[in-house]
Amino acid sequence: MNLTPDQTIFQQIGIIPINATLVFTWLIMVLLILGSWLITRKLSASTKISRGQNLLEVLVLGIKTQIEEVSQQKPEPYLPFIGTLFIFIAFSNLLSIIPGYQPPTGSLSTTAALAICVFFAVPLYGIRKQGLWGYFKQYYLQPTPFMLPFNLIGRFSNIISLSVRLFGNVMSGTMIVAILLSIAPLFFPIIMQAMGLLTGLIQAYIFAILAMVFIAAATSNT
Amino acid sequence: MLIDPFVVIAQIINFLILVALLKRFLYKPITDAMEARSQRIERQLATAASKEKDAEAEKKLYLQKQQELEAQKQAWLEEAKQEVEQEKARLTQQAQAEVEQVRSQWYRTLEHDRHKFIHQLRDRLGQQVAVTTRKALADLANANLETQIIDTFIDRLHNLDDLQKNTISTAPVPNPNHIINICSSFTIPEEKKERVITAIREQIAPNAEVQFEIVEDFICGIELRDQAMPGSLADRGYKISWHLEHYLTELETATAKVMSENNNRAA
Repeated sequence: MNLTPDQTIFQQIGIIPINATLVFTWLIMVLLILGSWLITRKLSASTKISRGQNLLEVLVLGIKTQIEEVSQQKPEPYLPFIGTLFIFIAFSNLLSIIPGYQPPTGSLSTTAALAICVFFAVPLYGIRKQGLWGYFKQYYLQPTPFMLPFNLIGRFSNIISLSVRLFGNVMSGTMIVAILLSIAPLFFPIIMQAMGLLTGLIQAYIFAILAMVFIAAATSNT
Repeated sequence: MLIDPFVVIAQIINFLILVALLKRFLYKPITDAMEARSQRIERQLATAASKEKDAEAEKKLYLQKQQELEAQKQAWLEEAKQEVEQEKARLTQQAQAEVEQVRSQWYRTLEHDRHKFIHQLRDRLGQQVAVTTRKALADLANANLETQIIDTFIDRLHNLDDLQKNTISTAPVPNPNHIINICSSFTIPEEKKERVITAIREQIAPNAEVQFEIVEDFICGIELRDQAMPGSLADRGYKISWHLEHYLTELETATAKVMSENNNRAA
């Protein structure tokens, strides 16, 4: 039993290992993009819309509302980044109900990659909104410049906590189901799978909201 | 090692590609569709508001027109009512006038019939009285009514009262012809004519010419008419008569009175 899908290697092309993390990530990407394309290629601006469009509108509108509530700003600039974080994590977690599937979010490499994206997105959004000095002063020199080292440690720890929290939750959920399957193969794994679905959604929400909180802290004027 | 740097870099690239593709295929189309729908709904709301405003204006106009029509209707009704009242009053007045006319006509006819009846009654009565008296006189006193009338008349000529004498003496005497007419309802015998002429010449006018005339509408009696010439209106203003006319006139008056009372009671 592998602790992370990184260790499940399907094919080795030279020095590049095609592991389960990458394969299932591509699978999720294909599903998301294909599904989006299929639904959005015939959108309706009238009040009578398809079920798929309705689902996507609810999803996008929910994300926009959450972004707006957290940041108290217009959600449009942050929607693609935060929305993709949420959808990718949630989708990869929800698909774990399929037997044989290994969620990419169960890989610390994936969660670290997402956390690194957030780590770079925060200054990018902050600088774009407030300029380089404004961002630096607001984000690292508050409340006093003497706090700069602690602020730097805080930013890095944010990234680490983001990645490890997601990895730990998803990986532990997968592990618990695997262990329960070997101990009590009936009923309990199903319950844990259901719990895993809930946990996966909550983790996706937490990850996306925390990322938005960090970005909002960098972009807000106060 | 749980973190594979290659996988980390690959996942970062995958994630960025996913962000770009989802932005292209998900967020933008969905946001645009929602925006388009929002604008469409706003346009529809604006159109609805405009139509509502128009409808409100139409409603006001309609209500105003309805009120005007109602007022006009009331005015027409009032006018028609007045016209009907006027027409009613006019027709009533006309009917009353017609009724009054018919009643007057009826009264006139009635009065005419009454007069005619009384006249006929009087004539019949007179004739009957004359016949009866004649017969009574003939049966009881062996006398003729006409003879008695002439005798009484001659007697009255001989016994004129003071007023009559005064009237005759003060009346102007026409010149040259002084004609005195003796009108009677019957033929006077020659002997009686002589007596009458004698009495007249003795009591009234010695030179008067006496003419005898039978008058059909005389009921029963004899009358002296003193006038200048036959047919002249310039008579001397007196006459001496003895006939049933006076009694019958009194009877006619009494009968008419009784009939009027009966008519009034019936009305």
